[in-house]
Amino acid sequence: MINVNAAVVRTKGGQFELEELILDQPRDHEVLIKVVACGVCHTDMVVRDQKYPVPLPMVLGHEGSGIVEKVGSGVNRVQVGDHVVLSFGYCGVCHNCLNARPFYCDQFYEHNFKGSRLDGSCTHHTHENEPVGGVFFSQSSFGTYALASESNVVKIRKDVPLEIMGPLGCGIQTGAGAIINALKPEVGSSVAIFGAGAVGLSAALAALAIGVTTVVLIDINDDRLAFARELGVSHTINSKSEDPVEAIKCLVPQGISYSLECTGRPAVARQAVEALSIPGICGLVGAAPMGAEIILDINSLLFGRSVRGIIEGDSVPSEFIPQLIELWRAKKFPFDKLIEFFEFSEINEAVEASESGRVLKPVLKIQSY
Amino acid sequence: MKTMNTLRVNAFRKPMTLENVKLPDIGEDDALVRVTASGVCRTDWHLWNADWTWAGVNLPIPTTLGHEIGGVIEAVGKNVKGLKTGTRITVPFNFACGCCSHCYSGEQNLCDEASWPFMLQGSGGFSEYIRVPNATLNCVPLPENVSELDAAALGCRYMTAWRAVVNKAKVQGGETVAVIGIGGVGLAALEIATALGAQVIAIDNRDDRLAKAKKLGAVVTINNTDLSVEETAKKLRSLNNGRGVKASIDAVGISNATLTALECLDKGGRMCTVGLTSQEDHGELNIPVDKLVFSEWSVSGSLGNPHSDYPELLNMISAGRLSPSQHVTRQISLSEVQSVIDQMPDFEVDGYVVITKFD
Repeated sequence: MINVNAAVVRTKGGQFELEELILDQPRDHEVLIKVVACGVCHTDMVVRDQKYPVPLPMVLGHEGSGIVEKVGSGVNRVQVGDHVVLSFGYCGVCHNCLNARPFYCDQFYEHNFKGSRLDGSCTHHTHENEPVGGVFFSQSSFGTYALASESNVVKIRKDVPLEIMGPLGCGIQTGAGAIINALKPEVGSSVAIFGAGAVGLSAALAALAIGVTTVVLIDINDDRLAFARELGVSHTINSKSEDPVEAIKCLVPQGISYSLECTGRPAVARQAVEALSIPGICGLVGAAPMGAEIILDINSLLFGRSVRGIIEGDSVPSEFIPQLIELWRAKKFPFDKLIEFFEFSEINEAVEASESGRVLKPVLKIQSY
Repeated sequence: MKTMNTLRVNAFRKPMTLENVKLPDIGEDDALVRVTASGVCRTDWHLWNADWTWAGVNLPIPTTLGHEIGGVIEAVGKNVKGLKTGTRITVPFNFACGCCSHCYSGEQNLCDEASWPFMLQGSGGFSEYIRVPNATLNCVPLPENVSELDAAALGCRYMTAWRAVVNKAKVQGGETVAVIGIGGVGLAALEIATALGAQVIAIDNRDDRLAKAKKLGAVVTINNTDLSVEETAKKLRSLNNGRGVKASIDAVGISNATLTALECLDKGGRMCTVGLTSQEDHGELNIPVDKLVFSEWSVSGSLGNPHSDYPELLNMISAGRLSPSQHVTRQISLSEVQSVIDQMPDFEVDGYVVITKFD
């Protein structure tokens, strides 16, 4: 029996309330993590607002980093004391998992959004023995301790600051991976990124890191665009005051072969496709409400333009997260510039700061180490 | 107590013995499989002959050989998912762990903790029953119209040819490909490349094998008996519009064959070798590396086949586009295996030999 202080959402659209809960001991192939920090990601709010059918009450949080506290039986990939980043859950044996595509696992929903273990058992209970949803992204990291699966725990080196690494488990790898793993723009090519949030800016940093020479950021927030320019992007466009498709044609006469849609807005997705050169490919990353549709012009697409959806940056976390850390160490991927820290008790302020656009990547500092 | 027949290697290069032993115990993550078809392969001979120690392969003695398995699940441990008594299965090229860097990258054939049936007690295929460790990962259910005989024939040679042709040499429909050595692997490589729509040139030093190659769809056959590597490559070009081939497969491993596979390439060509050498070459080969640079040749090695690529291979067999079992020339009993092993050094074994009787 483990006492955990966790942030619980009990009502649709409600606040995150810190509660004292009881967490299960780690079972076979489970790992108990002392959570040092956890990022706040848009998907946490999507679930809080019940835009996805995830049962409440629930302990959310899915960008956790921390230290292995205890291991269940059969765990041999990590040991007590290891520094780890937690990423998404997956089954490991379906055709996609076997083919290095755990991000398209047949059971992705069950391992990330179900709210309980696969066998239906709950990991969190109140002191009155009322069950509370957990296993969110196989971690539920808005808590002093988290229970993860051996498969979604990524061991990292100990000589890097653990408190900045949690977001690599979702938002950062989603943006960076969309570029590095999925779109793979060539050295010397050009990319347009729609949406200068944490995902879009991670993508921009990744594009710059791998030798893309023209990186265009499109957003409606001038502060974010100014920050993007500080990070080194070559062009910014405020789509409130100009048509991005026309602006790109002027700014980049040779055309943009790759674009990334990070807003989840159908109209923006259309722009991201229209902005492409011939041929070109648009990656869709932004999460939209269930049932949202995009209208596309067939004749525009016909000329070698493609659209593809990308989940979690097509990342195999145990391979990609250490790679991103090495890029960061080499000072080629300063993703930590997106981070602002909050105390765990300030979780609602952190969420508000993210939603208002003031903070790109809030990270809750939970336990010291 | 239930017992079973198993063939044991008790000493290198000595006749194997047929023994009646206790069934292997299985753990929570394992499966007990009743073997119904089990292939006999040149690899089994190499291991029995104490070869490949230069490549770090050390067969534990005593052990049971055999690694080309078609069977039926008899029992599963409590943690095993997706399999039950009666499920017909095959076992991939190697047992994998599922959680190392290579397994995560879809290359279970390169698993850091890879093991083979003959390296573990109670898992070698020359046996009535075997234990498959980490069975959820390491048992591949067979589609309805793929038999256990297909699975055993598919064995190590056929799946090795599959990866070499499809994923390493990356043969594309319409290309001309040379296959050197029409033994177990070469025959499969020829069939697979042809099924992909490639034009295959088969090279061997035996007419009976080349006749078989022709029947399987080779567009050109070349007997390279008494021909040097250069002469063979020249002959190929004379029969291929003056050009080398885009891709080639060395399905033998003896240096003469590997060099032939290289010299037959056009500029920019891709050679994949799956052959392994013998006591003569001891794992080493000299290649004309400057020629490689000037011609932009690429050379790859290929090992077995990862779990991730089984569905495609089984789909081809299920759809009737590939038929590994057509190459089965003999179905034998356990007690006849040694006689087949004894024919291996002189390359006298014709086609695939599969054990279907376990006494």
